[in-house]
Amino acid sequence: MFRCRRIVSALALLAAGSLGATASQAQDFSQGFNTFGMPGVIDTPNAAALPDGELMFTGFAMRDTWRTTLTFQALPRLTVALRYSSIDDLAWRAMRGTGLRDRSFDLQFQLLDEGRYTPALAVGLRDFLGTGSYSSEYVVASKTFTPQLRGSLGMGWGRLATHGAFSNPLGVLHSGFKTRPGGFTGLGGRVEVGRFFRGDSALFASVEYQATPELTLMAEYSSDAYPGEGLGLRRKTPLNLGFRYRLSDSATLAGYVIQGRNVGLAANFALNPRVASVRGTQLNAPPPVLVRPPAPGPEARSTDWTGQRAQWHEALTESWSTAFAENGMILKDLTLEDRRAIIRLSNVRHEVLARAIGRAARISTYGLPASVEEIVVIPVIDGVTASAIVFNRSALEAHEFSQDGAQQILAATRFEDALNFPGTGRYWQPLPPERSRFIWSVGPYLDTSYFDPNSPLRADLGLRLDLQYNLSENLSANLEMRQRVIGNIGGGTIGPASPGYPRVRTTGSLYSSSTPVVERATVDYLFRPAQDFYGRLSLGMLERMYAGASAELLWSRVDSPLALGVEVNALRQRAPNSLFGTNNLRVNSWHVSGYYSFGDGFHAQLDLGRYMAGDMGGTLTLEREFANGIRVGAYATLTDMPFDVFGEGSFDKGIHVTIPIATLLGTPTTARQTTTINSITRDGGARVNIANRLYPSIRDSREHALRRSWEAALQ
Amino acid sequence: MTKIFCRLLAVLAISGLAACSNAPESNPLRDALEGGVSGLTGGARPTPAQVPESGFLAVAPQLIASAQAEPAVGLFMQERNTQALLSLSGARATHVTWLSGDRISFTLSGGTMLVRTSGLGHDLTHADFTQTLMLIASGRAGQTERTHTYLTRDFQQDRQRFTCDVRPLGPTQVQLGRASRQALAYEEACKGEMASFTNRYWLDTSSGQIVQAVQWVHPQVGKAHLQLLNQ
Repeated sequence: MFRCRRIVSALALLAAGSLGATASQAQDFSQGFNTFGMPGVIDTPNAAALPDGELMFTGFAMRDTWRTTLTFQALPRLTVALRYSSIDDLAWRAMRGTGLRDRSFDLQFQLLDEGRYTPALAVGLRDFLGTGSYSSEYVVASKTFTPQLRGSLGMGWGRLATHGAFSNPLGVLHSGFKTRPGGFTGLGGRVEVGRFFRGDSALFASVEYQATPELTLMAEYSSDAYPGEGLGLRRKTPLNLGFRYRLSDSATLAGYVIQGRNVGLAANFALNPRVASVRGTQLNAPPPVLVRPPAPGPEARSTDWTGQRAQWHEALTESWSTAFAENGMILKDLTLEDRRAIIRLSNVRHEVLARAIGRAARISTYGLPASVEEIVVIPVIDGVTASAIVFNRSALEAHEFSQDGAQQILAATRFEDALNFPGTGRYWQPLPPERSRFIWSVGPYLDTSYFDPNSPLRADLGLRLDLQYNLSENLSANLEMRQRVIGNIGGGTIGPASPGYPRVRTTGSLYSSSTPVVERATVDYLFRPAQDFYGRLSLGMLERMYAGASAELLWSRVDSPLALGVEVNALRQRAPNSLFGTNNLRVNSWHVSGYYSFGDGFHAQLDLGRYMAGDMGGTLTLEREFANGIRVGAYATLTDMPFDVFGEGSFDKGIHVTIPIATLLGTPTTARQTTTINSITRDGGARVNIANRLYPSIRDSREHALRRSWEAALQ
Repeated sequence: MTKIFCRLLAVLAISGLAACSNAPESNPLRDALEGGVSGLTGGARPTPAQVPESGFLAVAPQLIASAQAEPAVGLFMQERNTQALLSLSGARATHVTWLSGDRISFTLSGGTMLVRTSGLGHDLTHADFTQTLMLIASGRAGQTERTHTYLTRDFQQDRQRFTCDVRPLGPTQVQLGRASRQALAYEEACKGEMASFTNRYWLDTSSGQIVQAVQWVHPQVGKAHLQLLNQ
């Protein structure tokens, strides 16, 4: 107790010393992170929240220990993190001779914002899902005393009560709080609710002092004694010291002296999808809207030109094709009616669809007969013709340069099903005559695999050949071949089987090869059986491990946040060492799916059905999407396969991050990079990978998606 | 060892490979390379220019000569060390859009009052300067509000407000290419959360147009010097 008092008074002295500092710079503790990559100081947390939407990567290394953490501010008050770490666990080392490699999940919820006199208050769970090496819970309060000084005081349980522990005050409520169950349930990977806030508790405290806008100095009294780790044995003091140095808006370095003898270093990279990028977006200027001479009303404009409709059509198609290409689009076809023009196009450059259709509408004002009042733009995405965006030409003319121009144009715009307009076929959509039927490309590919228990990062680099032959817009033959040049994905050992179930995924490592492989060879047919309905049939080598037939039907109304789908697959497992051969494993799977967009970019998807190993169950996916296309999501699959049969991790779960390349480069391109980090691949809850599922194709053209990024329509 | 060396060579070859294809714009790498190399190339790159006493940087005479008799706008951007001759892209009652050779556009009102830029990377999607224009038209000094709108990375409007002091600087002669005009100069000193800056305007008293102006666009862009030519 004496020792604790001495440290508290040292912290108080440090605090008092800095109170005299002048308050010149606005406070900016927003990029604070601790060695666990969560809002905090060194080893301890604080009650701060990151800016909403912030994505953060933190790497931390110290003698015999390292942690890499991906952190996401999922909601203004909710911070979540996934961590992969190497822990110098003595018991593990005695058994296996190496440190323990472990994954862990954290979440922190800010209960109260900081007020003028009241502190911010947060509650957090550290490592609540993994095997529990870092398992701890905490409540923490933080207060900014001057713009440069922030102090935090908290109470921790579990690992955060391994120094200076006292009997749990929650024991007053129920005696069960006084003891903390050890170990973990079954094979790990489950939420250990029975352990939360139980056992002894301890206090921790910290101060952060922002010495310059770049440099923050930190000191903390930590209740984490590194129990069971080699570091714990060498511990000299519970006092940790450190600094953070901001290199740029996105990069921060930090250094620490932990426990009075170990030096630690950390690097942090942050990306906020909601803040303008440093580089901005390099775009060619679009042509301004060409304004028609005024007329008393739309009906007053002459339709005399219709006598020469064919000539108009030919002239416009020719002149627009070049303009569309310059603006990153392909003009597919044009239908001219007396007072309406219907333009079908595909977007090949813009990471947001709203920009492509807005540009198409503006370009079309060059040359369109004056009597045409409605400009209907129909984007074709991956062969699917879904939405029609109906612009009012007068609104485009009137509001292009207004302060709220995009919103005023939006108010005069309608969203409909493309089937309502001539030129959209239900079962057959002919190709524009001048378009080449055969499309090919050769390029590099990069495949990554994260957090493999034996190797945290695996990657393959190689060459990829894509061939596509189009019989029509909606019927195509596709081939993707790959040749690895260098890399270390796969080649590992085959995972343990789930007794009583076929090995549908655990033999995955056999499929990596240093000879050419057929990644995909399919015939794909996309159709529109009725208004608001979409269909897909795929046949062939659907993915690296499976061949077969896949059929899908989707209902989605352009203005509805809800979509419903059903998918049926009859599959045969491909032979690992053959280009087109299959082995004897036959599996069937089906799913019924519901998709819902909550607005503001929050999406949910629920799939119920039969997975490949024959297990029945469901997958819930939650995703946050920003208007620029950055997506961060998490999923969990629960099936009737028992947890102990599933194996390590108990059930399948994971996160994914999709970043449009355009937001990184500042150059418009439709390319996207999706990274999925899932738990160890097992046979339970496995689905076949289909390259062109319907909902992902049409989602960007739904009214809710276009409205969110509508400002880009005038960009 | 040889094997590793060969592999490394292959990796280098692949990373350097700008993928080939017959599909339009199927390759992000190529898009990035092409799109990333963007600057104003409407004229020869000048050496860093000294701002003259009037506060206005004119484009090089040879560039002006290339405009022949067509209406054009001369552009100088000091922070980007670039100049260009902009040609007419589209006009309507109050707004005229001018375009550079590599598709960067400036939409101007009342002569050279900047409403919108496009293609600069950090574009001004709208500038509201109504109060400033009224003061200039009436020849008085006074305080005004100016609003700039930008787009965030998430395509939301980022509206920045500035408080500005407008004051007349007196009569002066301005050189617009070959033509010389009598003008009244004005200064607009603005302060806001995003930045502080000073704009300058030259009002042609006979035509009532702002024939020449220096206007701040964005912290990453700096100022644009604009002047009407052959008009």
